[in-house]
Amino acid sequence: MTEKQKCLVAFALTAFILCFPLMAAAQVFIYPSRGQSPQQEQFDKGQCYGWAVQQSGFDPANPQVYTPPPPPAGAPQGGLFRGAAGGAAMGAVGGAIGGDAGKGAAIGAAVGGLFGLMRRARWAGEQQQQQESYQAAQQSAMAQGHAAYNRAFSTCMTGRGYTVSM
Amino acid sequence: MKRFLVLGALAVAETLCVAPLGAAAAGKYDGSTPLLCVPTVVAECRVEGECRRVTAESVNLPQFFKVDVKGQKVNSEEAGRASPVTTVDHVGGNLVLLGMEAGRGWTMTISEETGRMSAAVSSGSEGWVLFGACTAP
Repeated sequence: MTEKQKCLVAFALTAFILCFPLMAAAQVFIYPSRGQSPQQEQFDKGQCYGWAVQQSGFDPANPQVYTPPPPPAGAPQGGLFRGAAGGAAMGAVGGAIGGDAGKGAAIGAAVGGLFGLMRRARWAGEQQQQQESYQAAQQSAMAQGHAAYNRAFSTCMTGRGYTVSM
Repeated sequence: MKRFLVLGALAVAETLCVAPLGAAAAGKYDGSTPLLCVPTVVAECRVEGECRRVTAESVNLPQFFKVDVKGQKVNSEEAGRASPVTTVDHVGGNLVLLGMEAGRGWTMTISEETGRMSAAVSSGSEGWVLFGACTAP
């Protein structure tokens, strides 16, 4: 075994030791159907781990998924632009009705809407509900990431001559 | 006789002094001068049909706002916000203002005699009802 091969085996073993708990948790069963040695199997698992992470975008050793965070408390729903633009437009309408569109538009645009910038209150219990749905979305995204990783890992190991079952 | 004279003097005094004040007070909140208003109760209603009492702060409504009928606006200088008034009317002793902005319509009614104020702001999926009072600063 050359130095390069030894390094690769060491890397594969390290990666496998680090990831073993997660791999075990993923419940992927592997059988060396071509009679591969245990060392070769570890090496292939390490290689397939890196490939599966790359393909699936999910790393079981560092599981991170992105889901949009719940809106912070008190975030305006219409936004300042909507209020100011709406204020200008409606100000112009109001001014036009009053006979002076320019004046109305100026009132609306210069200062933003008093009533146009009102937003929904955060009702009691609503924040908890949003937090729960956010957590559910996180868990779902995590499960999808795991599943994608497992499929990629299985594909790789199958390609290297192993029988894989999930 | 003396008692009659005293009562008569009081009646004259009331006619000369109090009655004009009362007449002036009746139109004190008619919008001829800007009014400073405070929403003391705010309720939020949603399209699902449920309404709840909320704070002005929680719905991003300033604690005070000025009603400037001559300037055709309702504004909060502190918050730097204003809503244009499109229609002004005097109906049944009330000053009634209408406006619209950002896809919303609003109406405000102020008792010209007491300064009591109520307003409604409506949009597609929610609405707010305000109750409060106005004063002429």
